Amino acid sequence: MSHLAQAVRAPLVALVGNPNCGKTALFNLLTGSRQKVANYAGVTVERKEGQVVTPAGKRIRLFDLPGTYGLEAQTPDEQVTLDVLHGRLLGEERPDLIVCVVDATNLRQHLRLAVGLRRFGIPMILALNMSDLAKRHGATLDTSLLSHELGIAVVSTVGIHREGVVDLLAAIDASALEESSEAMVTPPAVTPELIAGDHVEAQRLCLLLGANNIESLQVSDQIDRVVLHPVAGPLILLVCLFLVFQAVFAWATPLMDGIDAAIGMLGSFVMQILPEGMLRSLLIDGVLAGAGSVVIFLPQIVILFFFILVLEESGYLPRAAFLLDRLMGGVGLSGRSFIPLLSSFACAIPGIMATRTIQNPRDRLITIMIAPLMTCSARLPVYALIIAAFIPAQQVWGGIELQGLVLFALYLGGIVAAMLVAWAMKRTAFRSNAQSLMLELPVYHLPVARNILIGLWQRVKIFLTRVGTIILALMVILWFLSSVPLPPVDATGPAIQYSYAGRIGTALAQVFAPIGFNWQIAIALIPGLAAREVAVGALGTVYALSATGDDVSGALVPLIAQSWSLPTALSLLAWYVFAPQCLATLATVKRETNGWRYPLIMLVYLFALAYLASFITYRLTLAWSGA
Amino acid sequence: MLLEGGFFVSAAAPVFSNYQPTVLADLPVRQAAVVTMVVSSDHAGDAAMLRRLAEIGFLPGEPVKVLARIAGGDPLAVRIGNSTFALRRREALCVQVQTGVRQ
Repeated sequence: MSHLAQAVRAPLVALVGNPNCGKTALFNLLTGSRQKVANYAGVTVERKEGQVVTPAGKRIRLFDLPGTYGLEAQTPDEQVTLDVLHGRLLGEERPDLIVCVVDATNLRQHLRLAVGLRRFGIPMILALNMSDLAKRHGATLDTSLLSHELGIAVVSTVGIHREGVVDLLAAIDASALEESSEAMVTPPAVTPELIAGDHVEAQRLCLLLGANNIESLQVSDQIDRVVLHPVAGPLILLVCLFLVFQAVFAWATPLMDGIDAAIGMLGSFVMQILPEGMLRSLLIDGVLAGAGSVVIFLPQIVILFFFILVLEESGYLPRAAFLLDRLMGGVGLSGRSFIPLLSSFACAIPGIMATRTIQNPRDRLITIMIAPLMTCSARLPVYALIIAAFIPAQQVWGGIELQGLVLFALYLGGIVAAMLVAWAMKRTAFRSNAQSLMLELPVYHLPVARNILIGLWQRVKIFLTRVGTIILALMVILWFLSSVPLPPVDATGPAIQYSYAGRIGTALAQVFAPIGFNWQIAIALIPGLAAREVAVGALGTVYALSATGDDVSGALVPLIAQSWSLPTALSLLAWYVFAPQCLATLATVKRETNGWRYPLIMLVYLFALAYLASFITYRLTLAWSGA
Repeated sequence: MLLEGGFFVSAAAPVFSNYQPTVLADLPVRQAAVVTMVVSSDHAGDAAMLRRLAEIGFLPGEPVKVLARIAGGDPLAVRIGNSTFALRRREALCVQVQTGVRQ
């Protein structure tokens, strides 16, 4: 980096503070970004950068950093923050200014970090965040008194209101950003004695401000009396999860029928206006039957994410981790692995990123390795398709939807498999001592409708973008491979059997015959590696082209119900519990573990488990249905 | 003041009556207590763990109580100062507390 480049660079401001104090909410307000916020420690695990132009016209670069409890990193996400503070980040100087964010309702805990941060010798502004909550609890914090005591600017902020950062922006403008060329200070090593010293100072300031017990914890404690109860707690957790999967089927059906009907109408319309030929086949068999059969599952994905977002926003998520810690301890992991694993139900990629909050490197690796066994939302369409085709929509045991029950069982299957794999790894290559938990249980908050809506909208956008880009492209390629070369004139079977895809499928079917997969499934598995829901689209296209009549898209469910046997269907379900994960996940594992070793091990072990599970399922169902 | 095997004792300890030393792991649910010191119990506890306990607020003089215990006593939900943390028993064994605090 040349001196010239350094000179023209905009000053760097970093948001630093305890986890879950609202740094990302402030970052979003200041930069207009929409980074994920939620009510638990460790939502932000990487450095996020944004641009801000202050009211005075100063242009600054703003870093949002992972929260940290201390000034010596204990986890990979804290390392990110400490590296920035020490100026160890490649190509970056130390920040010109720190905005230390503290939760105004819990100064007792958060001021300690602020006191310690001063040792870095970097100019600092203290932001008392959530000051609206503190005020509601009757505490008007004297910022000028605190400013006088600390010798730095102190401002009140509110992360959830547009006007909440006005004072902070003014304070940034007032700070001498450009002149901050102070001597490098290397802070002393952190010892418990040092922390105790910071604590004494923080306590003095709290007493001075009359800010020792601001946040009323009564309501939260009342809820916890029930939610964390040794008997009631785990039951509530189980019922919660169970209801989620019931809702995924029960609520989504009308919406899915609507989308299905719309696609059917679109198909009829294309049939009417286009003459028989390649273009009509591409639109109907490739686009509508392929991508269309994936879009149908949007309502189920939205419902699943709605529940996940409510859990994250309310503060229940870390409680669930607490309740499951013992279970995780049984296989040698800690409750800390729970949040990354739960994130993996959305997608394994953020789940694997979230393992940065795990202290022990071996535990982190195991959690990364089992994350793909959590059923990600891309697998939901595959499950939903097969369940709809083979599991009757009836109620059992007085009102429980059988389809929802089977879906719940499949998710549970993934979890049990993950626990077994973790147990096996812990006993072989990944031995380590009992692990620590030390997980913060935040005060409950009513979920903010705006945050949930933004979160849902982002998921809808991601899903539809995938359908419109990667899935559509793969469908067109697959349609092409399934349509050429044209069959000989004396052909008897459907044209696709003579195409490239048909030949590949027939060859692969040899490998998959022992687990009951036909050539159509074998074809669908290949694009399913790029993104799992593509397997559904691929089946749509393959079956649309295999059909001899003028069957229009959207009718995949009755088609596979007719042409697959029950053992084949269950075998495919078992396959997708383990299904070798998508390429994007493998790329993330490579990045997070710095090498090809672990993604390769993952690929091989998941393939082996998938084949084994399918084989057992297929053979058992065959024997059972034959008897 | 430094103690052998531990790192500090309270400089600002409140006034006690019915002085009852115990470890956090054995504290009855919802009984108010105060942290006296954080020491490595013999079978567990490395320096990093003790430092982390201090960082999350287990410091001399801090009010503490157990909010909930999972059947079997591991893990525990603990109120420390104004925060709540889930701890495993081996962590809670390192935290020495006193009950019978006269407010």
